[in-house]
Amino acid sequence: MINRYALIALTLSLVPFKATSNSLTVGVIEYPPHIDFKNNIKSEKAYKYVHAVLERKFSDIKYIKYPSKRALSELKKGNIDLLYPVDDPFNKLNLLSNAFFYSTPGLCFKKKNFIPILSATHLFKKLTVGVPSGTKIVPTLESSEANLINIKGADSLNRGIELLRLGRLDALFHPNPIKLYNESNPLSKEIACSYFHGYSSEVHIATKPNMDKKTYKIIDNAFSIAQNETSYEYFFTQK
Amino acid sequence: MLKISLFILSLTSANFAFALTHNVDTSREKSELISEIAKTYQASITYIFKNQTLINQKGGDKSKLFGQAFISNVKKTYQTKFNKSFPEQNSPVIKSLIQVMIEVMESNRTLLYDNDITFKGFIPAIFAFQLSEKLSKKNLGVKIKFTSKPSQIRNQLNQPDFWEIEAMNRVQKQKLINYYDDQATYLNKPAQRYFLPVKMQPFCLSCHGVPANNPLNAGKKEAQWSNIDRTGFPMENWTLNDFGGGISITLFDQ
Repeated sequence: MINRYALIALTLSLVPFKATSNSLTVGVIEYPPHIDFKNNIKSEKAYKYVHAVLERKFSDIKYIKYPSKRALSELKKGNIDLLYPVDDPFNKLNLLSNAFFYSTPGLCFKKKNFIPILSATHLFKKLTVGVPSGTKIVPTLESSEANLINIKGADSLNRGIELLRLGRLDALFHPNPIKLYNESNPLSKEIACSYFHGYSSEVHIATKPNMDKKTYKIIDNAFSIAQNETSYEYFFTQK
Repeated sequence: MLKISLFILSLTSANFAFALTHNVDTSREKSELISEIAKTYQASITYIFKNQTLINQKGGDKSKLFGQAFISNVKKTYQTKFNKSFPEQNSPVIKSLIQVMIEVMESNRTLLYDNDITFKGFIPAIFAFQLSEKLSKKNLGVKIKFTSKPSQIRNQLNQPDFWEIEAMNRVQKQKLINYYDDQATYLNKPAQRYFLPVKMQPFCLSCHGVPANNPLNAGKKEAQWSNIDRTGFPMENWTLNDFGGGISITLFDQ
């Protein structure tokens, strides 16, 4: 049976070993269940995968945990070289050529109101569905008979979750419900989410805007080789 | 001069013969591969159906739905269903399909272990759709779809394309066990396409049959029966003699 260590070894054996003396600063964003700041990030699978690839190429790698807005600002300023895992719905970032993994949008409900299959859009009729500002909703929801309520504000997603808990929404559109509905989140005891399958989007490793071409190529090649052999998504399933 | 011409002619003929044999071999390999992909996919869908009780039950050991245990059971289902061993020396596409099965099951872990949700909606069609979607992201030049006639489709993302409609018509008219086309195109590129019809099974009728087949109506008086199935869709009143759609596979050069 292939275990996690065998997979790491396999992945590493395919990335040519050539550690340079270069240093690299990597920003990390919380993205449960892949990266959960409640845990030591070195024990998280997304960290292990990325570090296993990078340490073959860079001798000095520093990881910094950031809230997502700050992380994007640091990346734009060039203060960090890489940032992950990051959504880029409006194509504003410089990214590695392969997606790191994929996320699927969905609707979250109080469990008693759970709708398991979202292609049954006729069930949305008269539902009050919260849509956090700045999120890109899927066409099937947009064209449904749901009553869509735009939730404004800087923290619109968390506000939406609160409104859902208070029963002021029947459902909440979430661009990435796995962040909410996962076994390590206590909210999963009262809220459950289902997915708009067919509308998944890429989650990336982003690079700073002014990264030199040679460094970009080294990093991009290393991840392409690793992902072709053992995708991060498969690595994530291994105990 | 004549000797030289004959020599060139013989070389050309040999090359042509080689190319022809090679093409036939390649075509046969592709046809076998595409058929194996369909069987593996079908075995996994069958396994998901057979485990609906486990999927929806509260508590209990669900470990056989995950990881290598899941794959071992899919292989056993394959063996029972097709009366032959699962091919161990398989192609990168089938290896990826197996990995993707593990990924799909893992991405549903929270739902499958959610004891507050009695019907989880993790039915064969939903599993199949997730499998197809994840596989399409692997850039392997393969696309799998569980589809049916346009009027029979519930999820509009599964609508058949023109080739699939033609394939279904041929399968029905000529009573074919499958339909393979190595001269097809996909998005204007040469492709091999395959359609494997799936027979309507009693389990399909619990959602697509008549209200008497609806598990939600069990134990109720007929006057109280609902024609809305567990997934929230109106039932179609199909019987075992109706067309059950099928698995459509496309292999194309990237």
